[in-house]
Amino acid sequence: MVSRYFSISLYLLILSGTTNLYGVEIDEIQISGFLSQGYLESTENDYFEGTKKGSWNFSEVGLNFIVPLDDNLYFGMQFFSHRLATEVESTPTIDWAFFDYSRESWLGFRVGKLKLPFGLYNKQREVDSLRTSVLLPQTVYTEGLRDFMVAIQGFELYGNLDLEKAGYVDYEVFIGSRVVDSSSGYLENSMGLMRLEFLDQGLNLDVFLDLAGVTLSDAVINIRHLEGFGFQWSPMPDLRLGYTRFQATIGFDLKGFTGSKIKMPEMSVGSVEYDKNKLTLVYEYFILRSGVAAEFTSLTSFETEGWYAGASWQFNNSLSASFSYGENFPLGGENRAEYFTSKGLPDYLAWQKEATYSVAYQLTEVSMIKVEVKNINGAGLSNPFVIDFVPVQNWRLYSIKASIAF
Amino acid sequence: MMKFDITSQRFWRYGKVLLLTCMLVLAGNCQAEGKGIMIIANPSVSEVVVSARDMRLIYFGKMKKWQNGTRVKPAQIKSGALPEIFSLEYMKKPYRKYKLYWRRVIAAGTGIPPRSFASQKLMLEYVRNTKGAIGYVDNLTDKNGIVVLQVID
Repeated sequence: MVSRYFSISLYLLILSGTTNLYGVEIDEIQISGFLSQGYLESTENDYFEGTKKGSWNFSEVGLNFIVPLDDNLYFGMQFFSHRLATEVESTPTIDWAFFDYSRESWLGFRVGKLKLPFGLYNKQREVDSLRTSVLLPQTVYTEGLRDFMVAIQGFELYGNLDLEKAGYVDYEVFIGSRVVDSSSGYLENSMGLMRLEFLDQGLNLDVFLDLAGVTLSDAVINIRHLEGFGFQWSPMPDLRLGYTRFQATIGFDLKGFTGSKIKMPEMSVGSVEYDKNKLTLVYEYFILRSGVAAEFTSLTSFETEGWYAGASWQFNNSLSASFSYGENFPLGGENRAEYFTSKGLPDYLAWQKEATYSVAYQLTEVSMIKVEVKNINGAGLSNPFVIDFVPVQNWRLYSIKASIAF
Repeated sequence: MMKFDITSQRFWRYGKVLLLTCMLVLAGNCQAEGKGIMIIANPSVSEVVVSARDMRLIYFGKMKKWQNGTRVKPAQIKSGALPEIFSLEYMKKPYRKYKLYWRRVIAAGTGIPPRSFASQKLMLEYVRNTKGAIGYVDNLTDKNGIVVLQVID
């Protein structure tokens, strides 16, 4: 209900026509927002929960403001509510909120809830209207890892270094913490892997949890601290090279299940973007090293890696199209297929390869509509650890989305 | 060996060509009033000449202070031909992509975009009354309370 009022208020604000170049400017206060509704339908397998039957549970609403407090200090905050493959309307949460203090271009300081600089687009991943594709390439910006990599409560140092003829570098060094609840895809995947490890020992994790009197909804991942750095180097006006690396110390709290733990994950992502006139080319690669152990099992380390390369073309001020191809290996490399085959599962659970075709049409200055088709090989991202369901290897995802942003 | 004789006709002929070339090069590099755009600033701004590179840094939010320590406060026009020309000339990007850049920054909350104005008159008023402000116009009849900056490559 709160979310509905939130959406209606935002819609009325947009319709009121008070929007400026980047939203509403009230003196020096900058306010902007976005609202989107989409439809997802997949063949054969669920891409997200319920998409095989077709799902309208795909919406986002956000409202942010930035208030300069003096020449060197400002405060910004974004409220965000979204629904993806769930009937439950989420209540607006604070997506980011921080104080930013900087006296010089080369050194600034932010404290609060901060978005992580994962890849080139993580910080703006919620704002649909900033890209041609409906979904960010899932082989890198995996929804299942969203809770782990979106934001932290902490602080960061940042700045812009002028390298003269070599362009300039934007850098960030950050540290913080975060609590991830039981609905996290990261937790689901970790528990799924643990389930497979239990099977290897001739045990059933779910029976064990029942006997222990706990359910997954009791589980909490506590990212005690997460620290890392990132930079984006622009050696020339049309080129951006980015790299981010972070690691986390994680506590896995599942009542009555004290032997379980998740190994400290490390994540790195490298990016290249070339953006010239009507053409944008991009390539991004990430690797996550992590591990999980349960009672009766030894620590199982695993690597998740993914990449994509894409191109988009702006035909005119209204129409753009993009194509991308990407691969994700939830347990690292195609050779990990034997991990699944040894357990009697199909090898294509070891990967997901996606070719994505997208078209976006700007209806007005603030509204946009998009359609997208994904041809998919493998089912590595459709929760490969749900072992009572065997997905199909070749399948598709169709999506359509309308969005308003000001 | 050729003698260096300032009274010779050849010296003055070559000299005129050299002088003309220098003037053309300098005219090409100084764009304060070139290509129909004048870069204007509040008199509190210490610089009288800025580089094209600095213009780019200022309007992408990456240069925050003038040499005298005053905060840089860029201003821009919302729509029309002027911001299109300005963006191509100084940002080296189509205006659509320049706006997209700032929408991304705002979506992440990591910067404050240039103040935008519906008309040149309003922008002039802002630049005139705001310490550290910089803006652009294509026509300036009243230079009172405004300095015109030269932009060099």
